[in-house]
Amino acid sequence: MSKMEIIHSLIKDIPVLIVSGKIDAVTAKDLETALTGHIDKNKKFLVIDMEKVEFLSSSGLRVLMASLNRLKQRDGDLLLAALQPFVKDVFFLTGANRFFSIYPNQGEAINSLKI
Amino acid sequence: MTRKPTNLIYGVDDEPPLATTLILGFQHIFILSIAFIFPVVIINEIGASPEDAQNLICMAMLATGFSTALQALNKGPIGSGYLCPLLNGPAFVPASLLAGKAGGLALIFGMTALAGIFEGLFSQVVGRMRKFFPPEVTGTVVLMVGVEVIPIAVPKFFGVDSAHPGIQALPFLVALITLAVTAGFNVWGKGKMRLYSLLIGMAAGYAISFAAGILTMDQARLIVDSAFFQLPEIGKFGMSFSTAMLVPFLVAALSSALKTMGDLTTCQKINDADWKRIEMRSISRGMLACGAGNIASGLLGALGQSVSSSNIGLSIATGATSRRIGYAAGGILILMAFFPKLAAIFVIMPTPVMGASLIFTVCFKIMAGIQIIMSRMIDSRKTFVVGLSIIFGLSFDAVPGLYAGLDPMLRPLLSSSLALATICAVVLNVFFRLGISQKMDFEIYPATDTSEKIFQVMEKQGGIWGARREVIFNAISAMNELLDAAPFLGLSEKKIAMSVQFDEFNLNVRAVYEGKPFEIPTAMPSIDFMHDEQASALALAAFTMSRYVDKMSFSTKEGKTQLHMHFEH
Repeated sequence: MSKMEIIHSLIKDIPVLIVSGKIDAVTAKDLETALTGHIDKNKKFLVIDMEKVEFLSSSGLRVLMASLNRLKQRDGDLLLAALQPFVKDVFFLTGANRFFSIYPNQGEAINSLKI
Repeated sequence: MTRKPTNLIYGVDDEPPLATTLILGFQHIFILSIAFIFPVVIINEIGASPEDAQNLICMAMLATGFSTALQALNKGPIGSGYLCPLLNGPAFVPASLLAGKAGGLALIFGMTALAGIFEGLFSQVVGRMRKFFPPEVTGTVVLMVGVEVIPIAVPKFFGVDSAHPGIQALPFLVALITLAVTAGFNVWGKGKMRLYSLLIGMAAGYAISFAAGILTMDQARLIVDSAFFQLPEIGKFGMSFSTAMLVPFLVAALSSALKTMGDLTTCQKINDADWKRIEMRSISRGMLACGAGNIASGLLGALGQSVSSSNIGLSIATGATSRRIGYAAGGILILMAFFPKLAAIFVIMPTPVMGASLIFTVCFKIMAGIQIIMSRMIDSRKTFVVGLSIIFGLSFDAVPGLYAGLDPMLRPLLSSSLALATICAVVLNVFFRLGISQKMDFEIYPATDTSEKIFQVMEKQGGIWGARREVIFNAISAMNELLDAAPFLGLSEKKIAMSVQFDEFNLNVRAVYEGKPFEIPTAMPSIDFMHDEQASALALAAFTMSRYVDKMSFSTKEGKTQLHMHFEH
């Protein structure tokens, strides 16, 4: 079974999801549930700390893009932080990087919001 | 065309300004000159005169100057094209001692020339022997080339010699300051400061040695007393040959050739940001240059030579690998043979300065070896190849005299930690390759299997094959995309048969399933459809898969679809 964990925290009233493990077809559904939960509570901004993400398949990428699209529709954003090189590659290989705001770490992602 | 790594100030094809080239050439000669100790050792052992030693050093300058410039040539049939200076190497010391005691200097020179011919012949067949030298073998050789210098460098660093078996405080302090200055400028110095870090450290070492009395007035006077110009006496001792000396010299030549391979592998790697594997053409041309250098050594009357690992360490440290520096160093060495005053500056180098400089360069050499080894995935087979070779290689220095009782014919093979480690690595590599299949099959069941299974199977097999990590990761990712796409291809309750084939240049994956081929989008599906899994998941998986592979196609056989994915290795 693929392993993925999500730790939820709130920093400066912004939900931060610390994700670890592999995001594949199976675990992407858990990520989708977690993100949808925050979006359904009318949150505008979400930060995902991906420092411990070991793998990201297109299923995970689709969930991230769908969530980003929903947030953008309400002038919000989905910020990604601390991408490992091989996870970053997925965004750059597919061109998905042009949709996302990517930060070197969680702190910089949160500070960029200036809310 | 290679891509210059960002850490290099002057890459192999760059042309630094003339003054910079000359200064960098001199910096290399400071390292090369440490090896002038070997002719002195041979002369002392066979009981020849100090004048003979002087002649030997003079010929060493001529011979290594010629071959250093020859090695840098990148056009024509000879020369690797890299900055890879040569010196009268320790590889030939044991054989030269045997020959010197049996038949004097003439026998040393005759056999050295023969060894050069052998090395030249070996260079013509080495291109077909790539499979014997995978990265874990060449990396181990490069690592041991650095390690081999440690027993020479450490006693000099601590001021230890036959007269002083314990650590000498003053020489140690001088060596420590020299190393600290050199490393300091190398780490924190910018531009020219990093480029000349060794020269700055050595200048500080000379000054402190003089102040501390380690470099005496009498030694310094040698520079003043030496003649300004002098014609070297070429081929003074002639040449003679002996069949009894054939084995030791052939072993020395083989050891030198393997060292050349290790050092030139490092040169290839440090000059190419996208280095993947050993390139045999430049190795072969470089080995031929070494052979020609040894023939020149024999004719001129110098000891056998091999490439200098410490100088490659210096190139890495300073970020200057331009072949122009090789031409400059070779030219200066030849000039030094005619201008003894210039040569005297290097001859009086204080021992602690030698120790510190060698230790500085060895650090880079060892790291280069580790990087080459780790450029591939490592499994237990490769762990044994690397680990056992290093252990038995180190046993030569760790347990002195351990191999002394062996048959004299075998002794040259076990004459140094490098020779031992190289032989172990080559033999163990051949042994552990037995039973490795280049093809592997497995099945995926989308209903129950996850990415974890693909990771486990492919990472294990990648380690067995010694494949490049990033290529295996791309294959894993592409296979996972097929798994992601499976529910939308109607494969949820079916199986996908995977067949993976590997050689040094290609990784081919064939996925066979009961279903139809799918469309590969040429652009990323719109973000607006991502919320609809049915509408976007297959297209996104197919598009992502196409980004990982170098080539992909479909075919149909016996009613089943075959997806062919090709990855360049």
